[in-house]
Amino acid sequence: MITSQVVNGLMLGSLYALITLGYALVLGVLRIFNLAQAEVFTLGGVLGWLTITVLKLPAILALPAAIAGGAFLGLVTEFFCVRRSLAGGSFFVPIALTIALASILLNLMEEFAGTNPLPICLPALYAHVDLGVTTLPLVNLLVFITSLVILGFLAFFLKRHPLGLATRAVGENVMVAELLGINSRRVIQLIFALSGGISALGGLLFGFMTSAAHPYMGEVAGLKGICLVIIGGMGSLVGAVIAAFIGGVAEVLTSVYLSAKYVDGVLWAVLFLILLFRPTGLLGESKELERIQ
Amino acid sequence: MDAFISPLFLDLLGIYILLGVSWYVPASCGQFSFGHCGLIGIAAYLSGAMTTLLGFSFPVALLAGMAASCFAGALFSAIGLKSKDMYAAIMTLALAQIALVVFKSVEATGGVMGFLVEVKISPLTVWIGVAACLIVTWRIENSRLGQIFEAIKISNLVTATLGFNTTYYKIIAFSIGGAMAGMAGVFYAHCISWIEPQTFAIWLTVASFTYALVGGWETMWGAVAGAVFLTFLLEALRIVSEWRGLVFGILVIAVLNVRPMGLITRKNVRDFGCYLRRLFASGKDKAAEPAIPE
Repeated sequence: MITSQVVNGLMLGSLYALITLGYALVLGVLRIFNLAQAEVFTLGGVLGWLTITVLKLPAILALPAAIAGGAFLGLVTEFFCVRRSLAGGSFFVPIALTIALASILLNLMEEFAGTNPLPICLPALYAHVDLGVTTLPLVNLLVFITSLVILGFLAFFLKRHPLGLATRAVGENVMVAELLGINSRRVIQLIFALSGGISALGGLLFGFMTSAAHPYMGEVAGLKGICLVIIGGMGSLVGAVIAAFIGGVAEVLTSVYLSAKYVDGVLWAVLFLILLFRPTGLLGESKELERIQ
Repeated sequence: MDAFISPLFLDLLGIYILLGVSWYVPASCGQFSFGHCGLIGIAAYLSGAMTTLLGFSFPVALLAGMAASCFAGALFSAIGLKSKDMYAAIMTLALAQIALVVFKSVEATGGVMGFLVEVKISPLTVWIGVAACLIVTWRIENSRLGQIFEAIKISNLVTATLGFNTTYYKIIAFSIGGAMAGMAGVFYAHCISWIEPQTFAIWLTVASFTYALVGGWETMWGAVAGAVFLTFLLEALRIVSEWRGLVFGILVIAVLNVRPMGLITRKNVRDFGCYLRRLFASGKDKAAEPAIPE
């Protein structure tokens, strides 16, 4: 019984990992939160509904549509919310601007897609697969594998690829990176496009998992992502994924053994406890500490 | 025009001004409060339960609500401030989310449905509270405490090396903001009468910082002006329910990109003060007026 619940938790966690990785990418390079990402997540699901249910295109086309839409919104976020506000050096203005963009996007999606769930029906994805300890719908395995593939891709990109190395250089120090001939604006645009694409993919997969997209799904998932990225340690990709798995298991166990009422609060309680004992999160570096006394 | 002079509109205008000013106080110390919806909700629920279910009088409930929000703001920001300013912002968000879950699961106050607060207060009470908050904020702004807040906003590191315990002052800023948000929550519960958990979701925080950021976040007059301006704008346009998110979002993005410090900056306030002084001192020698430094 408990094994199968833990497996369910890991599957949910792999979905959270996609959202959390999007936040962690931007945080790692720019030290700011991109709150518009919650609505990018929603957009992924809505684009899935648009391609599969409304336009009746083959389901495989929903993937590039969602990724491209998410990447485009990432670039829009960079243009309107980040480009001019970074000069101030405060984390304050980018947070306010991205949340403002999120409220615009949410409002537009409410008005054009309605406030009801948008069905995405793909019966082939719900065939059960036997894993020995438990059986799972195919779609959950798909999400799990996707999130691991994306983590692997990001790890390779950031450690080996020249562009990834440039990204880390900008994350260390923008001015030095510029002196070394790196176009920091291009790198920042790349990061926003990547994180947007990953979040939109997460939204699409969430739509597959629950067989519906919902205009408000991003708000819930986005807030959980913020919480998880802090639990994992700001800017640490591995920490983000570990935190996402812990969070998924914690939520499933809470809803099974305590009450479904507390599910939305359990992550924040975990955050409270972890920051009480480890102020920088699980894998955060101590150089993050800014406190002097 | 009738809508502008109804008691409900006056109540709401006062509450919105309180929201803007209470968000401005931590912001004046460089802190971003995500948890305003939670702080408001805690005070609203506690005071509503005290007056309606337990039979306390309104002033007692007001004090208890403010104290609870003040304490909650201090506790959660203190844990976040163990590392960095941004963690404090996220911890206040944690406060709001945990509070929302608690509101939904407490049966005595109606759970998800919400409950009816039976005690009503008049707009006069609300405006006395608003005036008290404005005076307190104004005094803080012109005191040593306000100067330390300003210094921390400009540079945490420099202020700390000058020997100030910056974490302590940041927690103080969150507590003052929390108490004022608590006052707004108590007034909300006793003016609107019906409180439900969904009222205190994250978008209430968005409204409060929209007031402060659009109006200007260098002085408290910006927050006041922002709250008044946006309330009248939405009331005049009659698009409150549907396009509110769009209007707020576009206003914040436009204002912060064009005027990063908001519509009313410190220079505007200073110039206006100077103008007023000239106006009242018009009989005297104008040349004696000192030049206002930039």
